[in-house]
Amino acid sequence: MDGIDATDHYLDPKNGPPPSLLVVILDTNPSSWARLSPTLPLGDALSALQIFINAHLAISPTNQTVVLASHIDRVAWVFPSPPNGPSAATNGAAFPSGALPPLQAANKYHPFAVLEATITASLADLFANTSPEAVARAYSATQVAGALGLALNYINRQQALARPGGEANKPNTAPGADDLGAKALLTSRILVLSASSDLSAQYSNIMSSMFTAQRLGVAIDVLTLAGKMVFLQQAADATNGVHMALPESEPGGKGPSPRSAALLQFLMMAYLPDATARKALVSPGAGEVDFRTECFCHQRVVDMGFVCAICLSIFCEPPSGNICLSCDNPLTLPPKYNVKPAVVPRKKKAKRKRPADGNGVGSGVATPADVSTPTA
Amino acid sequence: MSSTLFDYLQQQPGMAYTRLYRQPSAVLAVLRRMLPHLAKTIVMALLYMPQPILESDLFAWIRPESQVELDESISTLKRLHIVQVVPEPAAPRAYKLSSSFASSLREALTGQGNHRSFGVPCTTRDPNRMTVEDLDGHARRRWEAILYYMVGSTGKGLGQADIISTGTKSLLEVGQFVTIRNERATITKEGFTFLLQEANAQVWSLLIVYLENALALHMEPVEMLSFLFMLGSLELGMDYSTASLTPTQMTMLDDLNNFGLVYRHADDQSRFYPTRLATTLTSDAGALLATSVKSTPSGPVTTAQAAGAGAGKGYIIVETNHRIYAYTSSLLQIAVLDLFARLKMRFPDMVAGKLTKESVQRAINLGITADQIISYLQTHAHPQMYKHAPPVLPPTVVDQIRLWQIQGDRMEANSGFLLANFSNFPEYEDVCRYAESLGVLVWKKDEKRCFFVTRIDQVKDYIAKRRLAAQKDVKSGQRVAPKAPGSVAGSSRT
Repeated sequence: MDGIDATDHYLDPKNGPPPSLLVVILDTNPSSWARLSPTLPLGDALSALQIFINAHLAISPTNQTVVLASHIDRVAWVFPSPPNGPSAATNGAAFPSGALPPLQAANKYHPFAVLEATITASLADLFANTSPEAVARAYSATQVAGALGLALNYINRQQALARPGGEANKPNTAPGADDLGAKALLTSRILVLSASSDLSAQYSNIMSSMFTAQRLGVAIDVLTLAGKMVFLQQAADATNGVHMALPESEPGGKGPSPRSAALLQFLMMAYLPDATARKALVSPGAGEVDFRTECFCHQRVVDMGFVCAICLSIFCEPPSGNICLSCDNPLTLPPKYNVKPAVVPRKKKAKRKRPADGNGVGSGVATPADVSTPTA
Repeated sequence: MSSTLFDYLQQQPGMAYTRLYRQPSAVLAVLRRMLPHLAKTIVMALLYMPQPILESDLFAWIRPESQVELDESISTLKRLHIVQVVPEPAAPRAYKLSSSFASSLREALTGQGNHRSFGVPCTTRDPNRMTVEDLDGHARRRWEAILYYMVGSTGKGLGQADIISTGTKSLLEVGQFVTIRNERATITKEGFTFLLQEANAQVWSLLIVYLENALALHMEPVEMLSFLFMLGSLELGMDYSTASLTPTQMTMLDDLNNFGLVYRHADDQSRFYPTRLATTLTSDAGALLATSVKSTPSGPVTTAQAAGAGAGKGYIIVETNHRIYAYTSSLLQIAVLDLFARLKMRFPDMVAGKLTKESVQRAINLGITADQIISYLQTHAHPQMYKHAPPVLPPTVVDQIRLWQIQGDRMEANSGFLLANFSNFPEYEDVCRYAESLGVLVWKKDEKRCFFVTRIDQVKDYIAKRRLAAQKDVKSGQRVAPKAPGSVAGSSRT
């Protein structure tokens, strides 16, 4: 009789974990890969990435994947290729069995073969349409923020479609209403394979994406192949994602480079588990997260700085003319800022306290603040 | 008789696994279908690891709270011969993937090798090409013909239903889904269980009977199994060549055509099309649920959508006052509903009725359990029912169905293992607690230091490990005896 009173029997325990959507954002900055090529050629990295995506698809037939290229001047769909894109001929639905010799096709699981053909074609197309001028102009920039935005848009749509009833047009109302209450029908995560380092110009966009991801319950995983992306590290930390850097190795190894083997093992062990599996795992790489930030004016790493009230950009000192460098809004400094006390020596810190004005957004008040927590 | 694929696989000798795992498609199917989620994660982590992983490292990786899941995963992996313990004897204990499984999985993921296990597509174009709708229609007609036969409503206004082959009939009889009395098929208790399962589980139930009778049909079970796993990896709507198939597999193709798993042109033996019943063979329950939800965006399920998985999905609405509304015009679905509900009204696209005490208890007397009724209602719940999910079904109705069963059903039989003769109380208590945390404990009696579990493997491992750790000789006898738990006695029916 005890079984009757328990509430868990209303839920069907037999249902497996929900399907998982993996969005891979591949940094395709040519300059960065040129620098990486002695230790980790793009071809090797792509092979490892493909095995990883295949493994993701192998885990469940309903798992989905999207690959985006965060290029120097734009974000490109790699898989699935856009319906009217230049490489639409190799798109999943239109992929004919005749594209491969049938005997060879019999050695590959059909979805894997489609994935491979599409990725190869899309990337070849992307590189063919990259002009040398663009590479020279944007030496080491990569459109990670744009790619994150696109990925989150896609995830939001897929999650809406996965909901029973499937109203895609129903906006994601009531923050937190769908976080824990209903069982998620689709778990999503984003994996950023980053090879570049300089991202200060996209700071506010990345931070906005990070908060969106946090609200959607999407983990942002970051694997750093080269360079250092402080903001992405913070994004991974805030969204309970995995952040690791691929260790360096000596160039000049024979055969398949040892770094690509390491890349594959990193991907398979740390990045493959989806949200359901991660509940049971000790998350790797949970080392110290550098919460400090770079100021936008001089790229100095600061503990304390000035924060724009509109876009949350950080400056080590008030910018010239008190105009925010990122969003061009005027900044209002406290009237007595930087005035040295004359008679009674007071602690400087007392003056730096945020004025309790309550007119947060739109006032343009530049408030010196402790920026050690990005989740403000 | 084994009821699930897992039970069936477990009975196979080790050699069968080695042969089965030679096929990358079979490995992929086993990974998808048979393993718990954590086990899949472990397999993938081990796949490209050059060294065996130490057990201590594995423990460091998995959270201590998930120890139960870990034990379950490792035990499943070991029983399916996927993971080996190295070195033997194990000190320190480490795990690695069995070499045939690992190399086949690597081949599957990279697309290397020349195994041709993912189906050879036809090179020539089929003049009478089948569309996905045609295939769904074929699958539905064939599979529903089997179900009609079982419900015993053959020939009752069902002129269009195909007559099932004698081979299938005898298979249903061997599987004890029907018994033949006076040259007429009568459905059995197992048959009702079969009928109330979802389509994918039904297909597997039948296929397992088919596999178990393979030797009687002079066929090789491993070859059959790897062919079935291959079917699961094929692409719906594509035609495949029969040129590379073995004679056993050609024979199977005829039978599977009768079941509705594949389609062949009557005059063209050189190609076959897998139907949805075949391509979803290796999907697990969660996957099927997700696809069914997605394929029925809103409104009543049409016949075309219902074709999806043989029997329709998502057409029943259950209200808190026990009324049910079923948006269906399929005689089969109405016949199944009629097993446990009192149907009152019939409209062109809908029937309405009520779950009453009489109707449910009538079903229970036929051998249907409350859980089966509930799971049938749940798997076929209308998308509208998911709006306030979970729970999908009204709790009052779920409880009432169970209570109606308990009223007439005072005894519950569990087959399993009795563990007794523990040498001391702490040992008994510890093992007992472990069994409880696994969810296999059915009954215990502290005074007699004995308890009863439904599954023994993990408990046995645990006792062995304990014994090893304590370096103590502990006597624990195991008796295999199906028994009823002593806590609920008597068989009187009210």
